[in-house]
Amino acid sequence: MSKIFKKYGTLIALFGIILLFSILKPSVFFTLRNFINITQQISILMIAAIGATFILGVSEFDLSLASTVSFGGVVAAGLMSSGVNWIIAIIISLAFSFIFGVMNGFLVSKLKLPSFVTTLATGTLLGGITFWYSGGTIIFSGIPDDFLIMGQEELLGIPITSLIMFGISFFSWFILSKTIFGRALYSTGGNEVAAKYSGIKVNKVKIIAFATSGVLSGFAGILLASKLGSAHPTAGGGYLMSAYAAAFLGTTLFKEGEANVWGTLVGALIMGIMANGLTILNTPYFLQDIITGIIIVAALILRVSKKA
Amino acid sequence: MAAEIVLSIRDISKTFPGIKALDKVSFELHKGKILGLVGENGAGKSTLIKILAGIYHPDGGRIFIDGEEVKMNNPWDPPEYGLGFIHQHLNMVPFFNVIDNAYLGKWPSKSAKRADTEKMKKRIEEICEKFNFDLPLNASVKELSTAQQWMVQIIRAFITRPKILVMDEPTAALSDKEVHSLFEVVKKIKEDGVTIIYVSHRMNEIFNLCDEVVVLRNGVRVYKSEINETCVEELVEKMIGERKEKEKFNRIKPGEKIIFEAKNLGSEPSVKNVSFNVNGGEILAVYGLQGSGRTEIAEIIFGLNKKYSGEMKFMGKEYKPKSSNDAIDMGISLVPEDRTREGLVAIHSILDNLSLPNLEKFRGSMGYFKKRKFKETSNNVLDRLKVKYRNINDNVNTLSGGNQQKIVLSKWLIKKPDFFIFDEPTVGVDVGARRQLYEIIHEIAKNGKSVMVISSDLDEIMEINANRVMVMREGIVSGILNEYDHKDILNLCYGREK
Repeated sequence: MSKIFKKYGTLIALFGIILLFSILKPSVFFTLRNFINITQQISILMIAAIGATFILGVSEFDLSLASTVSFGGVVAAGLMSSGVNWIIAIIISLAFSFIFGVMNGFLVSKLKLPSFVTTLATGTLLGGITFWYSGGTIIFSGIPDDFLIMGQEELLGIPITSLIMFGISFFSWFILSKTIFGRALYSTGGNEVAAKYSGIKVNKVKIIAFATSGVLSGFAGILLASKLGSAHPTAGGGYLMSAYAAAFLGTTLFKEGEANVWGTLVGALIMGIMANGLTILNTPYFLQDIITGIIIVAALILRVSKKA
Repeated sequence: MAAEIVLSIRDISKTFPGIKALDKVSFELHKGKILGLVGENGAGKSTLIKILAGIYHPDGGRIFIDGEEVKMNNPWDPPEYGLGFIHQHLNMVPFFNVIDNAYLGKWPSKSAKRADTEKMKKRIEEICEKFNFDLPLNASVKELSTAQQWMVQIIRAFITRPKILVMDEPTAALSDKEVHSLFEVVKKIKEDGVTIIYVSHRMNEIFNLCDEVVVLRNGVRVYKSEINETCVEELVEKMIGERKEKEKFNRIKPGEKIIFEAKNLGSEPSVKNVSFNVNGGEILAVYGLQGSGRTEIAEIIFGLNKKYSGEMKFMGKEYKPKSSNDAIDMGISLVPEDRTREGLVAIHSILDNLSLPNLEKFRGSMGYFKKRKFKETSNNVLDRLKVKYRNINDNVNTLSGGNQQKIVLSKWLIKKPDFFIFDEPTVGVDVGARRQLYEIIHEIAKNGKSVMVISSDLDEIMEINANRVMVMREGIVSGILNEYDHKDILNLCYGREK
C-alpha cells in the first residue's frame, strides 16, 4: 500500500483533488466544458514548465524564467504596436529569448558560474530591459486581431492554446525520452563528470537546455499576450514558482526522481485544477497560495522518501 | 593468549530486506592487539562496523565492553564507551580548517569561545606530537593531501582518547608510500595500549599489522586465527569459500604494429618528458605511487588535459586531442580511477549508462535512439562479461563494485576501441570479480587491441603479467621492464637503481 502511494502518490493526489471538487460543485466543476477550460488555463504555465523540465534535467536552475515570459510578450506586443507584422514580431521575440537562453547557458556551462545566482542576475537584467522597452506600462494598442487567434480562438471545440500545449508537450517528450539528445541531457544532469568522460558534450547540452528554456518561456509570454490582448512588463511574475513547482511535482512520477514531460503535465494539472476549483468555490486568493505551498512540500517529501 | 578481553561481540545478527547481512557473528578483542577483519565486498564488514558505531541497530545479539553489556543506540554512544572510528570515507567539511574538522561535533563546551579554540589547538598539537604528524592546523582540509586528511581523521578519533579504535579500509585511497607511514602510525597507536579493529582488502597489510584475524563470508564468521598460524592462501580460501590460486596469466605475443606512441609528453608539474609506445595486442602496465604522474598521463591521452607539451601518434598519425570526445572518436577508451565519480551515472539504469558513449552509433532518423537494437547489443556484451544483474533497467548503484566496473568496461566494449586505458581497474572490487576483469583485459589484448593498465597494486601487475611495465617516479619514467618481479619494480619506483 505504502509502495503504491510512494510510486503514484502525486497521481492519486490529482484524482483526489478532482474528486473533491466534483463532490463540492458537480454541476460547474465536473463538466467536459470545464475540463477543456482547465487545459486552456494551464497551457501557458505548462509551456514554461516544459522549459523548467529541460533545466531540471541537466540539474540546473533558470530563475530568469519569469522575466523571460514578460520579455517575450512585451517585445512581441511592442513590435506589433510599432507596426511590425505579427508573425515577424513573434519570430523576433523568440529569437531574442533564444539568444538570452544561449547566453545563460554559456555563463553556466563554459564559465562554470552557479546557475541559481547567475540566472537571478540575468533575469533581473532582462526585467530591466523589458521595463525600459515598454516604458513600464501595459502595451495594448496596435495589436492586430490575427495575433489574438492563437490565444483566444478554438479549433473543433478545443482552444488553440491547448492544442499548442499538447503539441509542444508531445514533441518535448519525444526529444527527452526517445532521442540520443535526451539521453545526453539526463546523463549530464545525473553525473556531469561521468557524462564528459563518456564523450558527451556536456557544455553544448547545457546551452541547448537553457536555450530551450529561453524560447519556451518567451513563447509562453507571447501566448499570454495573445490571450490577454496586451502585454505588461511584469506579466510573467507568477510563472517562475508555478513552473518549477509543476516540474518538481513531476519528478515524483514516471521517471524515478527526474524531471519528465508527462510528470510535469500532471504537476501543471494539479496546480491548474486547484486554481480552477478554488475559484469556482469562491475561496479567497491567498488560500490558493497556502494550498499550493503545502502540495509542493508534500511532493518534495514524497520525492526524498522515494530516493531513500 | 592471556590478554584481557576488552570487547566481545556475541551472536550479532542483522537482516536487511532480502539479505541476511550478519548471521550470529561472535568474536573477542584482546587488549592491546590488532584484530584484522577481512571478507569480500558484501561479507558484512561494513554492517558490523556500523552496528558498533551506533548507526545500525542489530536484530539480535549483544555487545560487551570490559565485561559489561552496552547498547549503541546512537552515533554519540560509542565514544562514551571508549570506541573511536576512522571510517572508509573521509567525511569532512572541505573549507573548514584542521582544528574545526577534528572537533566537528565534539566541541569541548556548548559555545565555541575563544578560550576553547586554544584548548582545542593544544590537544591537537599533543596528538600531532605523539604521532609525528606535520600538519598545517590552520589550512582548510581541501588543501591537504589524502594522507594528511587521514591524519586529521586519526586526530579526530583520538580527541576522545579511545580505548578501542576501528579503522575501516584506511588505506583504500593511499599510495604505497603513504600506506607505509600509516603503518607506523598504527603501530604507535598500538604501543599506546589502544586495541584496534583493522578492516582491509589488502592481505599484506593484514599480515604486516595484525595479531589476529577474523574472516566474514556472507554475514557469517567463518574463520578466526592467530596471524602467525595462518597464511594468505588460507584466508583467501576462507573468504571466497573455494580455493583459488593466484595464477599468473600467460603472456600473449604482441603484434608488430605500434598503435600508440608518446614522445616527450609533459605537463607541469606532474609529468615530465615521458616517452613510450604500445603495440597492438600488447598489455603495458604503468606502476607508480600516487602523484607520480600515472593518472595525469591517462588524462593527456584521453583529451582531458589540453595544456601538455610533446607529441602523440595514434595508428601512425599525429594525434592532438582537444577533448575526451576527440579521444573517443579516434578509438581510445578510459576506464577511470574513480568509478562513481567519473565512470557511472549512479542514479541511472544499466542500459542508460551503457548507451552514453554509443549514442551516435545507434542514431536513427530525427535523432531517435534505437533502443531495441542497442539492448540486443548490450545483452550480448553483458553476457560475455558474466555481469550479474536482474534487469537491464535497474539502476547501476544496485550492483556490486565488481559488476559496476564491468558496466564501465561494457560501455567501451560496445564502442569497440583500439586502445584501452584502465586506471586502477580493481579498486573496491572483490577477489572473485578481480580475476574475471583480468581475463577480460587479456581477451581484449588477444583480439589485437592495445591495453594500458595503470595500477598501484603490485600483485595486480604480477597477476596480469603485462608484457612490459613502465615505472613512474615523480613525473618521469624511471624505467620500462620486459622481465620483472616485485623487487625490480619497487627499486625503480623508489629510485634505488641507476
